[in-house]
Amino acid sequence: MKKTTIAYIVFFAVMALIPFVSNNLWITIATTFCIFSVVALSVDIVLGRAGMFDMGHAVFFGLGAYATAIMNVHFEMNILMAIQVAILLPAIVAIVISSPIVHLRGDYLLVATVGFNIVFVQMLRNNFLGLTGGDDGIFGVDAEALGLYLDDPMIVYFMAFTLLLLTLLVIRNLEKSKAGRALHYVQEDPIASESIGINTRFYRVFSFSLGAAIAGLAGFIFTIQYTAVSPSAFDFMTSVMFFAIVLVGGKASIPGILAGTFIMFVLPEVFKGFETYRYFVFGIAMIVSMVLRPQGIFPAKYGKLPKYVTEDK
Amino acid sequence: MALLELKNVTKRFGGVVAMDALSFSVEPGQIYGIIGPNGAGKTTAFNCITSIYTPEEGEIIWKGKNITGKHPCDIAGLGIVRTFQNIRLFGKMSVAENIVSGRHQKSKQKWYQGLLNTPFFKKDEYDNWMKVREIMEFLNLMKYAKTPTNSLPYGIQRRVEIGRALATEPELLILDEPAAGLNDNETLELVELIFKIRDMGITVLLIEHDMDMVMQLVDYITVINFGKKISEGTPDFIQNDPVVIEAYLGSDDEEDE
Amino acid sequence: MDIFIQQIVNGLTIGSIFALVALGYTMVYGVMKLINFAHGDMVALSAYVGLVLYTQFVGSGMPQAFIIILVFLITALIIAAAGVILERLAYRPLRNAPRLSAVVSALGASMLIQNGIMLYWGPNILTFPIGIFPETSWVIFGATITFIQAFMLILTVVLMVSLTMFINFTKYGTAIRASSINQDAAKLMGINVNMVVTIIFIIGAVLGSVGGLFIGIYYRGIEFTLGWNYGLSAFIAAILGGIGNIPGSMVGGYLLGLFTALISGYVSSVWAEAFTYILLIVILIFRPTGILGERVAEKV
Repeated sequence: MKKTTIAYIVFFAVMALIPFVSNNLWITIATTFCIFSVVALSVDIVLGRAGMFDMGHAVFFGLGAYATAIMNVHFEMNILMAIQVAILLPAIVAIVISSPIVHLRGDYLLVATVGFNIVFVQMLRNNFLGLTGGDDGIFGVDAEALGLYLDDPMIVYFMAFTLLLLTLLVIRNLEKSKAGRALHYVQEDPIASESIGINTRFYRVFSFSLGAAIAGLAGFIFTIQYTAVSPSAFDFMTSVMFFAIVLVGGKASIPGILAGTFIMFVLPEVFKGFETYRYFVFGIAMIVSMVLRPQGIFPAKYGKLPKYVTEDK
Repeated sequence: MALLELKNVTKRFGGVVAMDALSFSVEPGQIYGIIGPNGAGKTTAFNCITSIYTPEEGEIIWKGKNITGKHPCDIAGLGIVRTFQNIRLFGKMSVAENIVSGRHQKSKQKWYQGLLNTPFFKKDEYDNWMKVREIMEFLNLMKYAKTPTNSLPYGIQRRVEIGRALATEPELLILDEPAAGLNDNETLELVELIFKIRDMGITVLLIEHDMDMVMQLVDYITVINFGKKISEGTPDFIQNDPVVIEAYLGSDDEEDE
Repeated sequence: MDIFIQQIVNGLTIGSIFALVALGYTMVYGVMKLINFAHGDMVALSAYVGLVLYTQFVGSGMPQAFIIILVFLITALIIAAAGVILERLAYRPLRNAPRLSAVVSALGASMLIQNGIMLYWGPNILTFPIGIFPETSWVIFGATITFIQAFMLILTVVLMVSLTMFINFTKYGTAIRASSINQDAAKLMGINVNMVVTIIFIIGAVLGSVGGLFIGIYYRGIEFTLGWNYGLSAFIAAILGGIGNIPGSMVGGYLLGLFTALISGYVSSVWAEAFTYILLIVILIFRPTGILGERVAEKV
């Protein structure tokens, strides 16, 4: 067996065992890790694979979370039924807001996505349409469904872990498919891509929409975990963190992104005393890691082909 | 009926007329050459045909249908595909991954089938990669299958780019200075390759600076200068056409670029 | 009408801050094609340094005008030194790395400075004392213009005229312009690009330090996050004018100042920020290279 396969098996086994060998605090940390990894992986679809500088992805994470809370609290929808809104709303919003901007070159796109993030948070804070609850957000989400309290740490953990597994599966399939390859082609050379028949615009919007749907799902579980949402969790700083995770870990690299999420979100929980120094140390870490490994901790590898392409007949 | 026909196509950049009412037509099965001094507007013509530029005036007719102003990505779907003067490969990716990109239009899988890993998707992928294998064997690229293209020599990169174009199963292959940067040996191989491609039933349209190569390769030539057609005909005719000779003698110093 | 003119005056005052800070972004972007995210935090740092210096000097018996000049000069020196160090440590090693790596390094530098400020001076708002400048004000066309505002407007104009002269009429200015058009060609012509980069970081930091001190003396309350808030606005100003374009940034700064002031005056101040960003997105969609920027086509 290859080393990476073993590493994955060990990783999944540890993740599956966590709730049985540790206390609630650790289960909560592990849940956060799963949810944030999913968001980071969804940012990677846009940033790492399609190569668009998306620094506003917290919008889609937040849309999923708020959609869940709003549907449940204001419209008394069962929490599990809210899942469809939590997927579809971010996906549709992503199509609407990304369509006019995907043709922008690198930094301009980055600024536009930052702009969307700031407008989004201001809408949340100003109690948009009387639904978002202002600065305090929305409390009292009813997480009871199928006779279970879904906000129980153990249940939330398994939901988050399942979501992580599903996301990894989807990304693995994406990598091997025509659409996933097209994202890389569009990133490397849009003109050459068009010349062989790849609709660059479609795939750029597609990456935003797929990334948004996955981030929305993560938001759904995030809301269940805290049975509440508030604007500060989705501000522009959150987007910056995810942006940094992808690049520090390595674009289009699953182990890199998992490692990045671990460093950025789990380590600070372990060293609680260092809370105030957290971002100060991150700042140093970001500079040092980029200077030492400009391609990320685990850069993505190309040239993985199905066996039958090269083996002798 | 002509396969591809340009009718009075004009392209301007600001005040500069890069292509001035250019007309020519390519018949099925031909190897068609466009020659002319540097800056004559040859690449502009290709960029118009592949819709990277939209001409201000005139029509581009493909099999009797006007395709002017179509989206560039739809041109490949019609069966027109090109290579680039400066080689535009996906440099970080391997040769096989570059060639499989050309399957994009022919492959019928949908994005959600890929995400769900359906049986149809698996079959489609198998077909794609087998086609890539066939092309790599045809172009003698098997040993580079997993090599990133930016680490390969120029001549091989050219072949990869042609391979990527062939993967789209085109009817018209447009080559923008395919012999640029190649040594004599590689040029000879290229000429042979282009003949083979024509024999597969693919029409070839090319721009070339290497006159010896053009004369032995093509069936028909259009000569342009300052964006205008100054002559057209068979290689024998063009070689003896005083208008062409003058245009070339007048710009001899630019020839070797 | 009075409100209108008053908002124009206020808008030009804020616009001065935006324009000064925007110049730092635009000059670095012009030469290095890098969004220097840490620039806003340099501006914040200058406000804190200025406050410390002022409190040191204020009881020393020196004349007030002299103290003010001293505070501006020393702050500018310190921030310029910080700017040069920042470039050496965080950007120079990444000059040939993928562009996004430098962006992450810039974000890291920003977090480092911002949280450094927070750790050193604390997370609470610090206030500049009153009475730094005379409380005089004038009424023109029904609008009040304070001494501080007049001082800010005049100093900004002086700095901008000096910068324009420097860029257009000196050897170093030519080197900067050449490097921002084509770094490789500039290198071949014997221009020391490292020196050019150092110069633009110094100029950017000096202008930014003035902006930071303006924020302190105009709004009085300063917070460690002010770098992000003003930095992003100034960055928008740079984009409005066409990033990399020096006169564009000046115009962009004033336009954004006026726009913000008029929105807060007439529409709503809670939505002011959202409107600013919507304006930004609209401009990006329709004129991505800014109001004064040139359109660039890719060569195939």
